[in-house]
Amino acid sequence: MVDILSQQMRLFHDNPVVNWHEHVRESAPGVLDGDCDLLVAAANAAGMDQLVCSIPFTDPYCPPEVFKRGNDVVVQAMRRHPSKILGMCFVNPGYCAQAVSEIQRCITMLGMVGVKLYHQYFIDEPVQFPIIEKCIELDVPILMHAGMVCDSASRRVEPRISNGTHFANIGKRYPKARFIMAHIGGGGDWQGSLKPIEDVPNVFIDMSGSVYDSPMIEEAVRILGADRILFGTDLSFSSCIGKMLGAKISDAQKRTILEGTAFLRYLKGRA
Amino acid sequence: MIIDINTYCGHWPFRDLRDSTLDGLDALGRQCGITHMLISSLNGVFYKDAHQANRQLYADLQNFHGSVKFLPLAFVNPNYVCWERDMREAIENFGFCGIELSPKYHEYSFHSPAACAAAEIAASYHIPVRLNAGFENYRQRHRLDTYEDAFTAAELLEFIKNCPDTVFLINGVAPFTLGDEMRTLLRTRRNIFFDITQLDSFMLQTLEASVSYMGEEHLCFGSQAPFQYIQPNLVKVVLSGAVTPEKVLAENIRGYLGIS
Repeated sequence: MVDILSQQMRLFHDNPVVNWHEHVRESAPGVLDGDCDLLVAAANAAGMDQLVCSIPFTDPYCPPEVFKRGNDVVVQAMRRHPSKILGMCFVNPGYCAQAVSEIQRCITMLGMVGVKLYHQYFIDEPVQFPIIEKCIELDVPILMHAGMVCDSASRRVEPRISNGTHFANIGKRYPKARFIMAHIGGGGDWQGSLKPIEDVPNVFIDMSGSVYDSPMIEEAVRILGADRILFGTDLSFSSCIGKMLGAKISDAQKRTILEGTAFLRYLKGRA
Repeated sequence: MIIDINTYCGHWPFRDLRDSTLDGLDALGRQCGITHMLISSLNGVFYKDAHQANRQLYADLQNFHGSVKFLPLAFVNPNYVCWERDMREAIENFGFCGIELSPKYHEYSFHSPAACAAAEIAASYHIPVRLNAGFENYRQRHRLDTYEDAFTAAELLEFIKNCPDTVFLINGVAPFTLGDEMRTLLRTRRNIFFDITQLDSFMLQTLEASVSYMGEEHLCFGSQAPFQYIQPNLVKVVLSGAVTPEKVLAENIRGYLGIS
């Protein structure tokens, strides 16, 4: 059995692997937590070449000084592990001018590769439009926390969590933008999240999250195609590695997902 | 040897499960080196008379010629007529290796005398009782499915305490969240096992937390196939370094299942 798993893990060790959904943390305000090193060690052991990391804040009113501080901590991680960690800039779109300014700083001065949004607003609300237009201008993707939660408790906690319908709306409004609907394995109706974005080619997904329902990956490939799926873990290494190993799709499709072929251009010159 | 204590066949009404036949599970198991699967029929959750599902499973097993060794568990609904006669038939005539209780779907409580009686009868036959906290993540359940998990930590603790001789297989639970009283109980009860489907290693360290909580002797390999991919749980056990793979994959439980 160990041999079987070792053989299957060659998929990761023998191919380029970009993890588009990871996080680093603060141990204290403005201080990078030491588990960043644990993350990198785990990624090395699992054959992941690059980790795209952010620090999102779940506070619905997260102010600019906080999200700027978080982004500076991400920069600490990038500098600590320059060949491994890439950064995503988190902002709260409710502070429009500061958010746009922070995106400019993080992308053009600090070398981050995209923008991370959380559940402060739905992705298709007008408050997001300046953020999206800035990302189009800078040619960077937007990764947003997402999920189609079915239970009332989760809805109460995250009343503005975006699902596939929101992403389809915004993808059609901004066809030049590139959106990543985060973690289809993050909890919620993943089938219901996939269907609305089928015909919206600028909406991608990452397959991260702790839920490893079968046949999540096969269905995502059937609906979107492998080139619209990015590999990610969002801290759930076992689940996400195992999903890739267990999915009944071709090796070529698995390699496309692991490499993130459609998104490679965002990494050039920044790695 | 790998013993998967958490697999199902049959129909799940809320989404299309693939590989939910014996042949389908056999193929999944062979791909991962699984040698034994403890299996029950999901039809037993939904049929008014759960024992009809046990009969079907028994008949299907007579015609199965694959390589995975299936160890069938009978769904017992102690809230339904003649449950005890059906349970004994499943064990004595069909050779079932254990039973499964599903109080939330069958609408009874662990406080029910009949539930305890079923667990005690299982103990008299030296076979385990399987409990599953939930078939799907609570955030994605169909509106006709239950939004609550099958039992709370307090209900589970009381039920286990009331049935000291029964072997319990508890799936879909993060053991380290069950509190101090359960931890104390586990120090003296060797016959309680948890699968690893709700645990992860690497960054989340919930597998490690569970080992710290109760030792690895209470952990077993489970996948909840075909609801979930099998491989994530192999990754946890084999690649994480958090547990002794041989123990979790088979050694901890095999003696309680009569597997030599």
